[in-house]
This record gives sequence, structure tokens and C-alpha cells, in this order.
Amino acid sequence: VNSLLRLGSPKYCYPFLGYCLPVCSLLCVSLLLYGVVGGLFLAPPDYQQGDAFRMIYIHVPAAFLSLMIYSIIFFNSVIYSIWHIKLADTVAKSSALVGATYTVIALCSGALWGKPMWGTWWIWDARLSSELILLFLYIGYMGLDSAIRDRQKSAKLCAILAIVGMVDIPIIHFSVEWWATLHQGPTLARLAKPAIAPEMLYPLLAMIGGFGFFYVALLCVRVRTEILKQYSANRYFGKSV
Amino acid sequence: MKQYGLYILVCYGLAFLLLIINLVVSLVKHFRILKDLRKMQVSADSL
Repeated sequence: VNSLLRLGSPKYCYPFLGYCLPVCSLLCVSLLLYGVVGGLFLAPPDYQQGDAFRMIYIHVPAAFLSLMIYSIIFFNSVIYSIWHIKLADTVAKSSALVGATYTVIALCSGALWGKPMWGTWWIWDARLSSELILLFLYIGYMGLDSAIRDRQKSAKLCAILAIVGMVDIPIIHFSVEWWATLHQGPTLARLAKPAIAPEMLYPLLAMIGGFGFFYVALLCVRVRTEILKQYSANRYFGKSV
Repeated sequence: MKQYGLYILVCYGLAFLLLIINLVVSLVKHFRILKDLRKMQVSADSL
């Protein structure tokens, strides 16, 4: 427990992230390589959608990560609000851009998948609209952060926004069950039952893992940058820099 | 694959392009700060 608490201090966190970075990068590249090759060439075409289903390997991991990253921002905002740990605020703010990127990818890949399957790029469906609101939440969060100069005030207000915005996450997840939508039911929840062939499932899991490790690797870089920015005058960094 | 090739190509291309832009922006920002800090250290040492 003590070692975990120590990681809250930039003195220990900075070198720790330095060790994590190459490991995560290697895992990310290997999983993405397997996922892309498996998804595009090894997985058989779907019996209904044909080859168009191959967009699942970008769409589902991006959508999953967009929700996961917002949840991480929420937990870090709660930690910051209760214990005022600066690193929690740094992790939350460093995650926002990556989360917004995954949301854009999920929306764009969804539109590209929707056109040949539904006959339309966009529809004001519950799942699509709530995912779009998530993108606005990310943009609002980043905008609020950059608009306020005072770091403490910005951290406090961003934490409030992230906590309030968390209400959108269960809405996105359960939208396909609560309302009659054009979007299909939950894909990942169905993985518990073997509803998808293993040749299709393994590349999907690899892509989710690859996107996840990409986020962690990028988070390592961004948090280290923020630590350098904030604590450059600190005596601890004499050796690390 | 031919029927939906363009959709698949744009989907994968756009996704990886956005991720690479994100990575490059983050790395450039990181190394710029490292460079500035090294400069500051050199100037502090020379004083």
C-alpha cells in the first residue's frame, strides 16, 4: 500500500512512468499488429454484413476506450476533490485529449459503418446522440482547463464538470436497452456467451488491448510532460532531467 | 472486401492517422520541455 501511495508523488511517479512507457509501447504495437492483420485478413466475412463488419475492429475498441477513459477522468476527479492529490488532476487532464480522440474515431467509424449498413451516415439515435454528448463533454473539459489560468481553480472546476458529466456514461451504455434504437445491442457484454466466432473475437480483443496500451503509453508521456512543467523548479528533478 | 474497401480503408486510415497525430503532438511537447529544461540547467550551471 505504501509503494502505491508513493506513486502519488512526482518524485517516484516520474521514473516509474519512464519504466512503464517501453513496456506499454511494445505491447501496444504487437497487439495492434495482430489485431489489424487478424481483423482485415484472418477473420472470415460476416454472413450478413460481409466484409463491412471489419470496421468493428476500430469502432468497438474506440467506443469502449472513450467510455473507459471518461470513467478514469471521473475517478481521478473524485480523488482530487477528496484528497487534493495533484497527480490525480494531472492524470485526468492528460487523459482528456486521448479520450476525445477515441470518441471522434468511434463516431466517424460508426458513420462509415452506418452508411453501407443503415443507408445513412447519421441518425439522432439514443446511442449516437449520447456518444456525441460525450465528445462535447471532453471538448468542454479541455476548454475549461485551458480557459482558467489559476491551476487550483481550474482543477476544482474541471473535477466538478467531470463528476457531473459522468451521468452520460451509463446513459451511453444502457441506451440500446432503454430505448428502441437503430444501433445494435451491447457487443462486449455478449462476449460472455460465445456469440462470436473465435477467429473474429481474438483480433477484437487484441485491438481493445492495443488501443488500451496506446492510451497508457500516451498517458505516461503526457503525465511526465505535465510533471516536468509543474515541478521543473523542484530539487527532486536534478537527476531525472 | 472490394465492395466495402473504401469504407474500410477510410475507417482504418482515419483512426490510425488521428492516433499518430496525437502521439506526435504529445512527443513534440515533451521533448520541447525537456530541451527548455536542459537549456535552463546549462545556463544555471554557467552562472
